[in-house]
Amino acid sequence: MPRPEASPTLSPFDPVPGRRLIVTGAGAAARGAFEAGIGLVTTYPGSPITETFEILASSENTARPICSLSLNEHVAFHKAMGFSLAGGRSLITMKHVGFNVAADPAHYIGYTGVKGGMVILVGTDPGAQCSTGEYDFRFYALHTHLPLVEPTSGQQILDCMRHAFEWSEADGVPYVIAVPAGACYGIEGVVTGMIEPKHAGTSFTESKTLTNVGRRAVENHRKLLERLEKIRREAEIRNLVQVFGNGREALIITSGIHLSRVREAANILGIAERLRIFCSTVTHPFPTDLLKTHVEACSRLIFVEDLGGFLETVISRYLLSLTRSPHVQGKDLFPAYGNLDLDMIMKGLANAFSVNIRKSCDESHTETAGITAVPDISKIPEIPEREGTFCPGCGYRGFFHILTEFLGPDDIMGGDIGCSSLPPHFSSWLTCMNSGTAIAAGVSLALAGRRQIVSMIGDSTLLHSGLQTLIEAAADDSDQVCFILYNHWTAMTGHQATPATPRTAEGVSRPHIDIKSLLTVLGVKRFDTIDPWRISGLRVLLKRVLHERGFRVVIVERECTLLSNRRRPASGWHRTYRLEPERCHECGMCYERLSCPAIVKNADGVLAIENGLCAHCGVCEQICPNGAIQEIQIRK
Amino acid sequence: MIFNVVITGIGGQGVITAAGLLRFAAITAGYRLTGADNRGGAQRLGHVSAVIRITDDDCEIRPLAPEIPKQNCDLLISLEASEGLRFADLINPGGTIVMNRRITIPTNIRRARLPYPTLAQCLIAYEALVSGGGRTSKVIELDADGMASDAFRKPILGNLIALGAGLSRSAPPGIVERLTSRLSEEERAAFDLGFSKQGTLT
Ligand code: SF4
Ligand code: SF4
Repeated sequence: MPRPEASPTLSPFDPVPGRRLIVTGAGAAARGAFEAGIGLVTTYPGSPITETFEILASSENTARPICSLSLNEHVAFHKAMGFSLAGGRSLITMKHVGFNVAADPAHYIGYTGVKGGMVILVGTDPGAQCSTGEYDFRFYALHTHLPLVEPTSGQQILDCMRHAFEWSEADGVPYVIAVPAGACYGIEGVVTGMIEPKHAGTSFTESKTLTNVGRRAVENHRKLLERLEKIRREAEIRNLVQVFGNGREALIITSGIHLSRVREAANILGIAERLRIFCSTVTHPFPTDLLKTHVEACSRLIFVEDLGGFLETVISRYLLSLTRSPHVQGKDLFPAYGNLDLDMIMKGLANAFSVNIRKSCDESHTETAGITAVPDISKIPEIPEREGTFCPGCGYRGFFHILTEFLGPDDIMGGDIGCSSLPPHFSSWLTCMNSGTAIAAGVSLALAGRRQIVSMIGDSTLLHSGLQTLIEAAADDSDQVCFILYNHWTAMTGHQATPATPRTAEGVSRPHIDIKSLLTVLGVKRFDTIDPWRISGLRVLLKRVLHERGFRVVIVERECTLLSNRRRPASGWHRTYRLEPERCHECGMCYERLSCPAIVKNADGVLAIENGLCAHCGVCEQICPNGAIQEIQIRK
Repeated sequence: MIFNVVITGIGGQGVITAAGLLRFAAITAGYRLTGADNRGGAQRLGHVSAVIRITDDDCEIRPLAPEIPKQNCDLLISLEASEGLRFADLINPGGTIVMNRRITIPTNIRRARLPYPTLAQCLIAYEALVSGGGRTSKVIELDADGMASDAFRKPILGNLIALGAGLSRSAPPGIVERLTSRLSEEERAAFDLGFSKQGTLT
């Protein structure tokens, strides 16, 4: 049994250095930023990286940074930049697709430079498990000219985060730290460090470089490229390159979280002696000088990385400058799409080294002596995907149930990001923030009058990037019904407030933007408001607005049930619903079509409502054609 | 020594809580830890799982990936009976499986009116996975939710009953002691209930 060392902790703000903090990768980033004494963190929430901001914002510690939940990534980026220009340390966190929204400022911040340390933390999502779309985010480094860091473990996320603020100050540019979903959600015990006093900002210094126009922009560009060359040389000094093994058969170049996968795979496959692994934590600018001796020692090169193959692209250019170019493998072994996991790395390497993967796996569970037959898993039933869906009581369930009653197969529904896009995916498309109303505006120009066009926009999206769309749609009188799905929160990412959130999580009213007044100001002439729990009212309203023409807006307002339920008293009388089996005709309307998870089928095939799950919305009662569902009072 | 665990189920069953307790105990006992949570379905009754890899090796020398290699999962705890089958290819033929007697049919399956594996089918599949070489099966089948409701009127404690049952069969030294020492009286009773009863051994 190993010897217990420093006691573990669960608090990311633990003041004691040297403790083992059990935390996710996103949490390790929060701890690192806290240790670096950041003065400001800005964000627009987005999985997989939301937790970093959430943790920092949850601190009651006086050393806590200013935590600014911005309207979108573009705003958040500028705010963090301004704070840094005034000498403070700032962090911005966002997901890879959020970086697209901030791409404009990200393309000149290297030119103007920064003063206080600034870090751009980006949660990437190979495999698109929580995103609309995957792409190799790292290619941004080539045209923003920003240094890119890919930490190899939870511990390195913490350490890089802490040091990147110093590096940023020394080099005068922000550092980008990219953490894929697998590492954001990974959990380790990381060792805590000292917490620095807060860097809250000193002064703003006027500088010509901040006016990035014309000849000055070109001069800034030249200096930025010089800075990058300096950073390239510093990788060695900063101890950011790890080399393992001294085999000569192949040099494996990998980065980030894949390092531990490659090393474990090499051990299991028994090929560790035959290869060497080169892994730089800073992958742009890549420290190619340090690569030379290893490339020369090995007969071939294998790149282990996901998606577009950033390292292979960048390093291949360098290889051309060598007198002897080695044989290169990479994207021929590992797919350029999806998430690369241990299993796929094992397969790729087994292939490259002609190893029998099945035999290696069988030998890998050494502690199970006596096992003679390995089970045949092809006989195991395939389990279909368990899709997430609207929560019990979610206003969107009843809304879509009724809306789809009114729409024909040829009608078109534009979908937006957020909870309304949850399975069963009613919409005709779903691409990015604000894709619903915005794309519908184009579709309606082409098909106006020939198709019924409706579109969705969430309240958080409306304020993120939807305002301009609504102004234009109103001005053009775009022929569509735009449903503003107003559940009061950015619910999908864990209930961050927006400026239109009327009450705090505790239920206290707060100053907020009134959506109806906002629509008036934007020039929207026709709008209605409806509570999606009121099925008859919803039917009447839909019947009317779907027959009108031009730009119509319907605010579908019902607070996210997850939050409103938290405010229910734990005990006392509760309204809930009961399904009377004698009256039920098993028509399937509630269990199948509405598919509220609180309606369950017991072992005898009889339907029932599970009290613990029911959120007492009453929608099932209203849609049951046979009056089999009734409201009751229960005492908890 | 490497001890690989998967705990899985659906949102609201306490998968992440159980995983957190095991992780804390492992670190307290001086082990190293990797793994990852899949909390995507936590709020929406979707799939939830936690991968916990515990080792006494120095991770600098013998690092572990966040995923478990095929056939290397030593303990699988499936709080919803079918969810664990998603990890079938990871199961060590000499490992232990805890199957909670509960199936929740996904709403997408209901809508599409498709068949879904039954408890009996799940059990047969689990037994096939760990009865390699004709040794006695290491599937622990129990009604953890029912046991928790009966004993504590709190079905949520089913996660600790299942965890107790699983760790009773195999656990690295020191972990069970560290884990139980942090539990409340009631949680401890739930853990012990699973640890001593182990449900029905099939
Ligand atoms: S809608 Fe009413 S009649 Fe139809 S299955 Fe549900 S309870 Fe039974
Ligand atoms: S069971 Fe009925 S009342 Fe309860 S949450 Fe579901 S739809 Fe609403």
